[in-house]
Amino acid sequence: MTRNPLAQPWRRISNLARFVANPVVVRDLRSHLRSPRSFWLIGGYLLLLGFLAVAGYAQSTGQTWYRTDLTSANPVDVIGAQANLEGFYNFIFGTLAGMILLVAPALTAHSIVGERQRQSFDLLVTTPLTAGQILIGKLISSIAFMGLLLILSLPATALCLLLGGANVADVLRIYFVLAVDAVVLSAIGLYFSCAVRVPLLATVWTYISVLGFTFLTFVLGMSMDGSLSPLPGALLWLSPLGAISPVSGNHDGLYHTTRLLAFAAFAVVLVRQLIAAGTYRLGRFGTESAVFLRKQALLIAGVMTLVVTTGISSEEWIVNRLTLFLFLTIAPFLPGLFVPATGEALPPPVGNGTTDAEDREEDRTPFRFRNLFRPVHSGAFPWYLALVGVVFAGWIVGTIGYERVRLPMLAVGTAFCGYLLGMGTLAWGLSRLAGTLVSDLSSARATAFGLLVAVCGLPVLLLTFASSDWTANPLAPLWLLSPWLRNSHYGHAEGLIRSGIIAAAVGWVVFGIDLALSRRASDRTTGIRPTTEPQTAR
Amino acid sequence: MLVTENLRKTYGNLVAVDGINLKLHPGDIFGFIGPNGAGKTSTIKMLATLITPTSGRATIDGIDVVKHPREVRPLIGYMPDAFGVYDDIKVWEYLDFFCAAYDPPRESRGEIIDRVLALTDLTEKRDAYVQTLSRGMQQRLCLAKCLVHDPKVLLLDEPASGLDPRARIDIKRLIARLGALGKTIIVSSHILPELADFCNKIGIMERGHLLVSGDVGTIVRQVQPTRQLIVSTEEDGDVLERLLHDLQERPMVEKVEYDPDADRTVCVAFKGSLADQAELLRDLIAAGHRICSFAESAVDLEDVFLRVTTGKVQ
Repeated sequence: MTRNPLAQPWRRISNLARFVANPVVVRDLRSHLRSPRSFWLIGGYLLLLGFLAVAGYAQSTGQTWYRTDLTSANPVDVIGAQANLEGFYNFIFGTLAGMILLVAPALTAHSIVGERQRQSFDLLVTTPLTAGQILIGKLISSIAFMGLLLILSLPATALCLLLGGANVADVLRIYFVLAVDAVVLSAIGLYFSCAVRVPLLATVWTYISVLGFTFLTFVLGMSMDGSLSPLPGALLWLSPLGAISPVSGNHDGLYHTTRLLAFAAFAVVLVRQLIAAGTYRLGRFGTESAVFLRKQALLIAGVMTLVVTTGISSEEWIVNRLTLFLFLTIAPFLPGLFVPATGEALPPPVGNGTTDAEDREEDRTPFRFRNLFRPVHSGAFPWYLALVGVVFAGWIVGTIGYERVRLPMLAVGTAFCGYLLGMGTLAWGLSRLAGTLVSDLSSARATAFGLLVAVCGLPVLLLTFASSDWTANPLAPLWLLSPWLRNSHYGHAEGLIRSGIIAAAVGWVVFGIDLALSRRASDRTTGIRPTTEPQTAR
Repeated sequence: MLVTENLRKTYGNLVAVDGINLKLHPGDIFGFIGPNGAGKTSTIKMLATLITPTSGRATIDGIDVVKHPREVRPLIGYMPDAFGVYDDIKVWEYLDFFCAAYDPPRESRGEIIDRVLALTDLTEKRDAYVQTLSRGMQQRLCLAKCLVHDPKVLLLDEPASGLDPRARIDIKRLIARLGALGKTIIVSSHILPELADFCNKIGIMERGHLLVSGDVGTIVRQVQPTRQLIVSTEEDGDVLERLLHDLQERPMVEKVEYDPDADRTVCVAFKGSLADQAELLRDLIAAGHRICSFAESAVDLEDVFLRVTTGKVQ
């Protein structure tokens, strides 16, 4: 078959059509609405929404619920109602956002783990459907259901239009943003349904992550909203809570268009990333998704740095929040990066047993450039260096706009990258230790993450007991998540560098401990490392 | 059609499958026998592209299952030992889903579904909900789902487990019919008689090792060097004694057993060829013995199984 370069776009379009006419979607939709559960769910939802709308309306317009005296008139206080319109608007859309926050993750949190539990997952895998098709199918079918719920809410939100609290464009914008948010939240649920093997745990992890995601995007977006860049505003919209905040009026049309486009782009990248991560965790479909995942993570890191640097107003330094946010978003992935695996379900259950462990990857190949994006140990650390490099580049590009404070910004950026390197070294050392101590892969990753959180967070406890003024305390630099100590630009840089160096030093000490432990373990077992011994990262 | 070379799978220290070599041709029905945990499911899952072998290789129709799983999947129909069905979905919709996954022309799907339903005798259940089917019917439905894409190889893991005798016979007949259609079939079971009558090849597995594999006849000859001849006669008393004596005198006869309760039947352990067997009969008749029947007894696979497995464990 000759390769026709023009055929590529057409193949993409036909692939897209294949995704939409996905057998998983058809099957799921057929069974979703057939069960009595959906009937009760939709009925209850409509009742609740109707009740809330009527109650909120009554509250805002100052009407009583019931009339004891049917003969006397109870005139509506129109003027007073007008004054309370914003309250009603916030109330009704807040309810809608809360509903999405609760329902959207629940729709997908069980999808794959449920298939596993039902023992129908293997049947699905042996068909020619790709993991991407299966996951996108699950996502589309849950979105369809979510869309139904959103459409059903229209009568309730229409009250806002009736009262004059919002205009049609506002309502349409909020619906669009909320619908996209629902997709993102569903994708988070979908990821955990792939990654976790126990249905209840999948739900728990989904909700923890969804709440964390909503909170972080909201806080970060709000703290930077109002800057000249539309990117932080786009970030804010990723949080359903931020989606309902009214658009401030002091921006031009270009700002709004860019904000909407950036928001859509963020959502698309995030959903793709989550689906690729889910595909990788399914494990039976090759390593393409891991390659995609690592490349995309570089892209996201670069874009996030840009968003954050362009969002900083030069008057107010928010490095504090920034470091915390960036590191917290990266930290959960670090153990996964440094304790990688092929991710395979093993061994098959005998009888009704459900033994499910993951295979530890045995990889002792030296580093080659192509390993950078593959899920092997020898590629993990160079990849992390590349990530820090991308963040650095993003920072430099982001600071171009700051004429007056460019030099201090660059100093802070450089120091921040040093800080990331130090924290990466710490994560690497702790992952090695966890890999030596714990043989099961998932537990090793969890242990590594727990150790990281403990090492970074423990000094806080000590500090709380020691004194109320943290900055004056000699232990303060040990709190690695709070590397800012002085109230000047260069003071920030200094704090970041100091924390980075401390973190790296702790990382190397932990590495030394790990080396001693694993050497003693290998001495005990006749000098030959058995295959069951945990593979450590390099 | 299906070839494995030193296929091996280990989970840490546990060796689930230890170097399996198989070679199957179209039309072969291979019975995979062994106790629970012997490694049958691991082997089948490796062939079904569900788990990757630790070492060794396996090809189906010349395509490597590890390197090209996506090309292999349309060639195989896999039926796991335990499988779930989706609730609130009808039989034809269930099949339509799997059929659509193989992406045949849309208009041919109805025809395909009708064909596999007829083959598995589920036609009258076309519009029933899947969860209302009996266990045997669900098992047949799963087999039907394996057939929608007309695969060349069927991997059936414990297809008859948990079925009542009637349903068991149904599914056995179905598998035999599929073998006659030229498909290569691997059927696993921990119960031997389930497989004995319709498999042309068997493999006995224990603790990850394939102890023996090959044609049923070959294996029996390997395990039992002597054949068993059943000779029944009209005679009794002294004449019978003389017959037993004559039989014992023959060089190819290893052992003669006579059970007085079993209506004048003599069991002879015979190690000669078919020509020797014919000669024995001729000589017996020439010596004036009145023989009613003279035949080789049916192969006792259960006996083979017991010999092979206990020999290895001890």
